[in-house]
Amino acid sequence: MSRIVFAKIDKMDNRTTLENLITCQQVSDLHEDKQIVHLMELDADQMEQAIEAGHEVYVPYDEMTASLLQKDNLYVYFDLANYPFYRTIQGIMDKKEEGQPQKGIFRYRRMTKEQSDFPLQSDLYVLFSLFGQPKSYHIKRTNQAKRPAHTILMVDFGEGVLAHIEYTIADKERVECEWSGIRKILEFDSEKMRPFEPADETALPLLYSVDTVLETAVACNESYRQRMEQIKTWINGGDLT
Amino acid sequence: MKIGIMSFAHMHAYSYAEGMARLPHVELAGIYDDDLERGKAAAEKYETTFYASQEAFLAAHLDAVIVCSENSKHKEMVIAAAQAGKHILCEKPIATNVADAKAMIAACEENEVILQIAYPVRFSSPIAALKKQVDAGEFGEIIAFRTTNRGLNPGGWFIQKDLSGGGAVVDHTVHMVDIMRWYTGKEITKVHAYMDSYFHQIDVDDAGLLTFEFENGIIASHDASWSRFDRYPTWGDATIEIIGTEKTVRVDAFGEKLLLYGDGDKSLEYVVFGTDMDFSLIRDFVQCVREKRAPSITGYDGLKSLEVALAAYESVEKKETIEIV
Repeated sequence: MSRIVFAKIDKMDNRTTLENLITCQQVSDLHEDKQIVHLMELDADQMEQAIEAGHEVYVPYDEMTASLLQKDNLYVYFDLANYPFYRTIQGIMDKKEEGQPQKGIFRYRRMTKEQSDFPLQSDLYVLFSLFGQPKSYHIKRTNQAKRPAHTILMVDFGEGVLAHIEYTIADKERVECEWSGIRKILEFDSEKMRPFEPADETALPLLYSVDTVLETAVACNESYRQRMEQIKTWINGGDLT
Repeated sequence: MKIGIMSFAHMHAYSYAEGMARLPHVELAGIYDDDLERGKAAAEKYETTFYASQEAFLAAHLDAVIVCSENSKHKEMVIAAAQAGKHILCEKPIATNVADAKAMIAACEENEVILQIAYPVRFSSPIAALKKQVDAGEFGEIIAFRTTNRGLNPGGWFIQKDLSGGGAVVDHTVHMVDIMRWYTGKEITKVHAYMDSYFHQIDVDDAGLLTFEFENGIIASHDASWSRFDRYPTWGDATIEIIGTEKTVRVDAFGEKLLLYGDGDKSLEYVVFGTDMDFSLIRDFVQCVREKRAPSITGYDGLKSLEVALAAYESVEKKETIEIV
């Protein structure tokens, strides 16, 4: 059995990857050595073959199909959980003041080319892991058939955390994130906080590594399936259960 | 032109007084304040007459007055000034409830005096430039707005509900609602909000998130808070993003700034060099009085933006979306 990470290769930054990584084109090229991690470009046929062959397969959330969802030897990973900026924010926010509950306003905005709710579902899975179960929420959407389309999700996580989570389906990728806490304000904007100028010379802030994929991926099991169903229901205006 | 200021309770009174001093042929001709000490100090600072009595102040020869009292006192002062035939610039929010706002508008109409509401953000150069783009149709169809107005907790009467009418949400919602109304000419008809006191141990809200829907289907998010703190590089912000079918543009009313690094209390400070909005507001009001024209920001504008802020409080209380009819 081999380990295979399916990914958009141009989203991966493997310069500091610790895993023994090999990029492959075909499942037939895989090495049997479990110490090796294979990186493969997204390809539905190759994914199916890898899963059928019993390999340990890692797939990004937006490639999850109804068929893949039923597989057991599959791990799902989420863009947001892998971005270095988010992992840094998470690290800072986890350092709660002793005895002080985490209180504040979280604002998150993603512009995406993806013509579906996948990014929203994927990000919510990650954000709900950070802030917990929402106490209540309110959603507003423009006509999703028109472009650009915009979605505003307002969430009360209880325990002193509010969030505005917004999505614009447009012609670019951009992530902005802001936490206003008690005497602590965190700001990130993938458009501004780039090491290159002009900014479109690099996608660097929105790249991630195979190491974090392996660390943050979630087993595709019944618990995961239920959680994602719940999130999809919320997005479509269903009740919090 | 002789202008008086009624109360220095609101800190903007000081910048308005300074703005008047820069305008030719405009005189700060008197100050009334029910806080005698504060009023006398202001009169001394600006070398003008202090009136301990509102009646005496309104009997003086004044063309116009600027009301900068605690929010709950706007109604009484505006109506008295209107009855005395003075044109009025009233600090925002217009009032703490709809009935007071309507009474103020009616009194000004009845006495044929100007009632302008102090929404200085309209006079920010970037905000005004964005208005030109909207008017030129450069956005195609506007589908959504994203706005923020965050700042420091002003303390004092601002956190006493009986005087302020509410906390950060009433203080920091009306500006950006006014801008969105100004850009679109449309009204907000649905409001859903969450708010509480998150950053300070105070009895009023210090932060709120609001989601709106306009009569024509535009949706909007708004972040109103006193979430900034003394070591943050600036007092706060006023931002708007317009998402349109042709383009998306974001503007920060305080975006024209220098970054100043130092070894004081703040290691980084934003030094704004953009438009002096308060001065531009005063200049506009003076021109309005001089030309005897309708104000650029009317009492009705103040009323409609107040309705939205109040609907946010109602939404939190009832835990539901509030429709404004």
